[in-house]
Amino acid sequence: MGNQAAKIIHRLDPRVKIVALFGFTALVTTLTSIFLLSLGIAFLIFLIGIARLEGHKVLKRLSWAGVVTGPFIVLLSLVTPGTPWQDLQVGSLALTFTLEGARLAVLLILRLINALLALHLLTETTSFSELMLAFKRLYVPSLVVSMLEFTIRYASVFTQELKRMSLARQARGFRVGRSLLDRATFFTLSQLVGALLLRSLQRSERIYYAMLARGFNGVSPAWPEGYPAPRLNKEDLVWGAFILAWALILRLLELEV
Amino acid sequence: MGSLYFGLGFNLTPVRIGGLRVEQIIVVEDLYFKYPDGTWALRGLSFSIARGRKVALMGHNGAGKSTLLWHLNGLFLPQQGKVQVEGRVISSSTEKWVRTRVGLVFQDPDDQVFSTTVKEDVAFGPRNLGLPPAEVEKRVQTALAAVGMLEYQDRPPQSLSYGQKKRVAIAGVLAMEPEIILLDEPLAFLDPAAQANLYLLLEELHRQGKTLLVATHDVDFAASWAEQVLILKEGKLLAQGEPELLLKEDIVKEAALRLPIVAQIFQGLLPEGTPLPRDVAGARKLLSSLISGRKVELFSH
Repeated sequence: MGNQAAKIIHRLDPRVKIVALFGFTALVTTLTSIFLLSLGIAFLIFLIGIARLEGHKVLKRLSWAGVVTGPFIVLLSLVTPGTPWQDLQVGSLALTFTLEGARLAVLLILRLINALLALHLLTETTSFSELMLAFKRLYVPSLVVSMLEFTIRYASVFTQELKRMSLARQARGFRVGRSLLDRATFFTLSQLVGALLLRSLQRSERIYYAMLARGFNGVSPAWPEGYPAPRLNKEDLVWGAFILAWALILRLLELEV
Repeated sequence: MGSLYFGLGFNLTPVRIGGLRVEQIIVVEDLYFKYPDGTWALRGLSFSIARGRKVALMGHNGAGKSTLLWHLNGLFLPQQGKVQVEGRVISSSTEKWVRTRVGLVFQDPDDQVFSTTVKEDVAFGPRNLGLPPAEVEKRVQTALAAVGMLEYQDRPPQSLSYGQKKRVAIAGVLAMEPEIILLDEPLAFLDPAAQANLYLLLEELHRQGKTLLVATHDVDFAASWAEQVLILKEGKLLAQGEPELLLKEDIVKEAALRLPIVAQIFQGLLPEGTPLPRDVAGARKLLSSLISGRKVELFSH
């Protein structure tokens, strides 16, 4: 029974998932109520629970986003004018957090969590090729989908390349963690970035040739013409409507408030 | 007996192998190719390969082996000369067709295997052929089973070892069911067990009637596996013939190769005119005859 329920989300037509979850994100991330944004998160956690997605993966994705966006959000709460809330002395520098700034930071964090959870739900319950095929079937231009597809695929290739180069430098005594102000470190890292760009270009070219060798003709194999789009069934439509309805209700509730 | 040709052209007519007329599936005629930086990779290359043959393509680094393989798959088009596959000249109008007939396994599997899962990657080629999903699935399963990677189908390729990635790369080409399979240095960086498995796989493909062209530096492998050897030097065909060609010291030296290890062991120990063994099986046979027969006195001093 539990497995059956978990499969519902995985089994949904990817087109429905894309429309419903993108629509949900668009509606919910424009909310300004912290309470309603929290309800949006609660709803997505409910769906993630139904889909039986692993909690630690969700947390990992959120923590990565926190690392990237955290400093900007903190900065925002410092530069937003308003009622002083907390003072912080850093050396001779006096920083003041305002209530308005803190509220804005919380608002942005909740919006970010909503968007990331929706994205997580979509990507963890749909295979990459199904997603690309669904975009095509939703009449997203082929060029856009191809660019999206290659960006995602090349990202992992470049990451691996960077890891290999970093390890090779470490093996020859380069210490990670020195200050960027250190001339030698800065020089080494800038060379690393330059070499990465050149190598990435060469590898991209080889990957492209390897794709051509296996019959790639500029159109993703996820959408050959011979693959007719299946009809949407009632279950797909009900679930899609349910997700969108929840977002609409939150939006209407905000209007009421 | 090994046949050796220097600077000979090619012949479009069917050749005779073991008394049977065999179609020449690949014909390369006076092929030239220069890279944009001005480096000549191929300079007037001509040869032919009969259907179903096991061919080793040998030569030093930069001899033009990979460039030639890319021409046979239609990735590069001849700047001069021509390449024919199954009687059709490769050109911009036939390059897509040729990729359905000729599969190319790249030297570095990281160039070829980069989808999100092993299964996705193997399905890439069949999907490009426009096959129905059920057929794609069937081919993926068959290809992964053939290389012993079925249980890894849901794994991301980056979590695999180099040897496993190589097997996935081969599966990706097998799934397209090409008639001709080109493999660029398939043995490089593989451990002995993986090499042995690859050897068995190549034998199986040969039994299925596939034409196999393997670019390699591994003289021992080429001498024991191939039925035909092509040796390139600086973009030209230095020599071609049966694997006994690799026992000719002057040729292997000129090609910056070496004699097979088993041949080196027997070199200088056999009476003049006695052919050197080119593989372990040949060496065993020779040793057996030496030990049990009249030639045992060779070892007495």
